[in-house]
Amino acid sequence: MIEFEGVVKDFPGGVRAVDALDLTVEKGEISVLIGPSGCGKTTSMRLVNRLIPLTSGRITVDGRDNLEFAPEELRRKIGYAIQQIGLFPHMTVGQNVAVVPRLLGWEEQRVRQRVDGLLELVGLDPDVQRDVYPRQLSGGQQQRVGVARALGADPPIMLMDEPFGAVDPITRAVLQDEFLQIQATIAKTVLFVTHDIDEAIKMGDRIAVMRTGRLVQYATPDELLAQPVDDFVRAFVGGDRHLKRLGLVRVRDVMAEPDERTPELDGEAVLEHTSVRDALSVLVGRGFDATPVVDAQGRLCGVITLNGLRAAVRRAARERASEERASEERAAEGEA
Amino acid sequence: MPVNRVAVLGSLIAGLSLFFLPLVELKPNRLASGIPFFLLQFEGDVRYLALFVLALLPLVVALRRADVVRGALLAGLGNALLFLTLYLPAVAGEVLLADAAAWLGEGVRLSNPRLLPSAGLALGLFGAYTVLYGGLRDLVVAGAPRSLRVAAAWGGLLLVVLAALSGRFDVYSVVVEFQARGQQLAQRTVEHVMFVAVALSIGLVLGVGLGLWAHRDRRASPVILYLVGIIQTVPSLALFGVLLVPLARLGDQLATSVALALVASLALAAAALALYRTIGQRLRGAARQVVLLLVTVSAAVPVALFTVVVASFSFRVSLLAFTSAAPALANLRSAMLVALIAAVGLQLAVRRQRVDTARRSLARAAWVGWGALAVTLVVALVTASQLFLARVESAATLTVRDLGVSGIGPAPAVIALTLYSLLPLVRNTYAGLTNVDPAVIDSGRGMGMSAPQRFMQIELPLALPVIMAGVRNASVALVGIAAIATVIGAGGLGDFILGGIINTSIDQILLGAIPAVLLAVLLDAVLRATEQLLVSPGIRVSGEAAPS
Repeated sequence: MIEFEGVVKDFPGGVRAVDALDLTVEKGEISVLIGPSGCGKTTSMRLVNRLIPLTSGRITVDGRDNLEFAPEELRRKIGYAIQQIGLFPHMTVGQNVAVVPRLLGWEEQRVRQRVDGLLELVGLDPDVQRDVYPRQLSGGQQQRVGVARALGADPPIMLMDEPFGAVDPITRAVLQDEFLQIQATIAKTVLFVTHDIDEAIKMGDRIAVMRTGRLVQYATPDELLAQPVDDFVRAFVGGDRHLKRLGLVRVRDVMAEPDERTPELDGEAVLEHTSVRDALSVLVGRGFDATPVVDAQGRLCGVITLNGLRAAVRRAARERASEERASEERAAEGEA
Repeated sequence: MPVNRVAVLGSLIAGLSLFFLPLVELKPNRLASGIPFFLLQFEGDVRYLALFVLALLPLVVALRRADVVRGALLAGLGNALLFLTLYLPAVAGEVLLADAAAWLGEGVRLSNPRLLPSAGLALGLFGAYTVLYGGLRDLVVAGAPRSLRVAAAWGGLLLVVLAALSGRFDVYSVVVEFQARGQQLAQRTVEHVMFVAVALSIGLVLGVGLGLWAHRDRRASPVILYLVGIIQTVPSLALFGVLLVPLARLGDQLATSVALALVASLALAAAALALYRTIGQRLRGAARQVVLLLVTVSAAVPVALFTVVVASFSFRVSLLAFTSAAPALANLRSAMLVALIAAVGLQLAVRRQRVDTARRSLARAAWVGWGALAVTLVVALVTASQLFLARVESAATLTVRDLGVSGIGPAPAVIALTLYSLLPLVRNTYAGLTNVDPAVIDSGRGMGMSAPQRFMQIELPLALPVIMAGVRNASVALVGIAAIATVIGAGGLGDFILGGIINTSIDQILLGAIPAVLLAVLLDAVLRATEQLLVSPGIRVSGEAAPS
C-alpha cells in the first residue's frame, strides 16, 4: 500500500509541481496517475522512492514513512520501470534482471533461478535470451525485460512510468494484456504513470487525474467515465466516454441465452470475452440488431442484441453502484 | 566496382618510381654522400628486370572481374613486389659494395660502406603495399576464407623479416647502423617505452580524475577543459625548458621538508574547504570566489608537487626494473614474460572456445595469468625501488634529487609528457561520461544503486570505449613527443634522431625513427586488444554481437 498525505513538492524557482496530494494505492491494485504534460504525475511517482526529495507532507509505503529508510534501501524494495526502459546496454539480459537481487546480496544460485523464472514469466526464453545483449532484442522484448527487471527481487510495490511507451500500438496492447495477466497472479501494488487515457482505463483499478499538481478526481475507470467531476476531466476522458465504458464490459456478462433463431444469424460471430464496445462495432457494421456469441472453442454460447446491450449495461452499472455502496457501508461499520 | 583502381594506382606508383627514380645510393661511410643507382644500372643480370614485370602485371590483373582469384593474384603480386623491391637491390648492392672503391673513386675514406635506400625503393614499397591492399580488399569483398586473408596480408612481410634475420639485408645502411649500435638501441627503446608507460599511467589517473570532476561539476568543467587545452598549445620544447629551473630547485630540497610542506599545504586546503563549507554559502560574489580560489590553489599545489615526485621516481624505478642486471630483477623479468605469454595465450584460447563451461574456466585462468603478471610487476617495482634507494645513507639527508627529481634528464621529460597526455584523457573521459544515456543512470538510481555503484557498474563501463580512444590518442602522441626529450638529456629514441640531424646522417635518423613508428603502431594494437577485452560486447561498435 502506498499513501500520500498532504504531499507538496516545490522545485527551485518557486514552481509547485505537486500540491497537497492525498492518494492511497490499495494493496494489490494498479492505480494510474494521468494528466497532461507537466501536471506532476511523474514527479509524484518519483517522490515515492525518493528519487526527488519531498518538500512537505508524508508518503508511507506499507505503513512506514519512506523517510525511515535509507534511499538506496528503499529503492531496492520498490520495483522501478521507466519509459525509455533504461536497460543497461553493456549487461546481458540476465545481468540486467539480476541487478537488484545482486545489490541485495542474493546467492548466485538463487539469482540464476530467479532470472530464469522471471524471463519465463514475461514470455522470454531464458536459454535463448538470457545471455544476449539488449540491442539484440526487439523493442517489445526490451520492454518485457524492463518489466522482468523491475520484478527482480519480488518487490511488493512497483512504480511504472509509461513502461510500454516506446513501442508500436499493437505491441503495446499485447504487453498490456500480458502484464494484466501477470498481475492477476502476483498482485503487486502498482503506481502507474501514463498520459494515454485508453491505457489508464485498461490498466487501472483506479485512476487519479491530475492537473497542475492537484488531484482532480480519483475513481474507478467506470466511475470516472460515468461521472467526471468537472469539465476538465470530461474533456480529458474524451467525448466517447460512454463508448469507452462499454469497453470495460465483456460480452459474456451481457449476452442473452441463444434461442432457436440464433443459428440462422449468419456472418461474423463475436467471442465471449470480447469487449462490448467491439461487439457494438460489429453490430453497427453488420446493420443487424443481433449477432451470435461463441466461446474460445467456437461453440455457440449466446446472442447479443442492441436493445439487450443497452439494458444490460444500465443494469451492470446499477449493480456496481449498489455493490460499492454496500462495501462502503461495511467499511463504515467496521470503522465504527 | 569492375576495375580494381587501388591496384592500378599501386602498380603505376611502383612501376614509374622503380623506372625513373634511383633505388639506392652507394655511400662510403656514415657521413659522406654517395652515388645514386637506378635499376637499369644494375648490370649483368636480367633478374632485376623481374621487378618491372611484377610492378606492371597488376595493371592486367586489375581488369579481371572481381573475385577471389583476382584478389589472390593481386595479393600475391603485391607480396612478391614488396619482398623483391627490398631483396633484389640488396643482391645487386653486394656486387656494388665489393667494388665500392672503384665506384667511389680515389681519396674517399671507406668505413663500413653501405647502401642508402632512395626514393625509388621507398615509393616502390609503397606501390607494392598499395597493390597488396587492393588485393586484400578483393578478398574481403569476395568473402575469402580467413586463412587465405591472413596469409595474403602477412606473407610478404614474413619473407622480409626472414631475409633480414638471415643477413640478406646487411648491405642497407639502417642495418649497418643497427649492427654498430644494437646494444644502445635496446637501451634507448626501453627508455622510450618507459617514458610513454609512466607518463600514460600517471596521466590516466589524473586525466580520468579531472574528467570525472569536470563531468560532475558544471561550473568547474569549462575551467578544467580550458586549462588542459592550454597545456596542449605550449610547444614541447618550451615546456621542457620551463620545467628546468623549478625542478632543479626542488631537487635540492630535503625530502623531509618537502613532505612537511605537502602536509602543511594540504592542511591549509582542508581548513579553507571547511571554512567555505561553513560560511562560504552565505558569502556573495567576489568574496566567495576568493575563498574558492584559495581552496583550489592550496589543494592543487600539493597534488602537483606529489605528482612531480611520483612521476620522476616511478620513471627511475621502472627503468631500473626493466634494465638492471641484478639477478633478482632478471628473474622477475623472466617471470613477467612467462605470465604475459600465458595470459595472452589463454585469452586467445577463450576467443576460440565455443563450449560455455570450458570457456568460463579458460577465462578464469586467463585472469589468473593477468593477475600473476600484475603481481610480478609490482614485486619488480618494489625490488627496483629498494635497489634505487640503497645508495641513500639516511632518511635525514635524503634530498628530492635522490628520488629522481632533477632539472635536466628524465624527470622534466616524464612530467611534460604526463601534462601532454591530459588533454585527450580529460576530454574523452568528460565526453564519455557526459554521453551516457540519462535514462540508464536514472534506472540505476531507481533500482537502488549507490553513487559509487552507479559509477563502477554503469557510467564507467559505458564511457570506457571513449576513454580508451583517448588513451590510444595520448599514447601515440606521446611516442612522438618523447622523441624530443633528448634535448634535455633524457635519452630515448630521440637520441639517434637528434644525433642523426646534427651529423646529417639519415641512417642514424632512421635508426631512431623506425623503432618509434613501430612502437606507436604496436602500442595502438595492444591498446585495441585491451579495449576488446574490457569493453562489453553489448556496446562494442564493431562487435560480433550484431542485432538479430
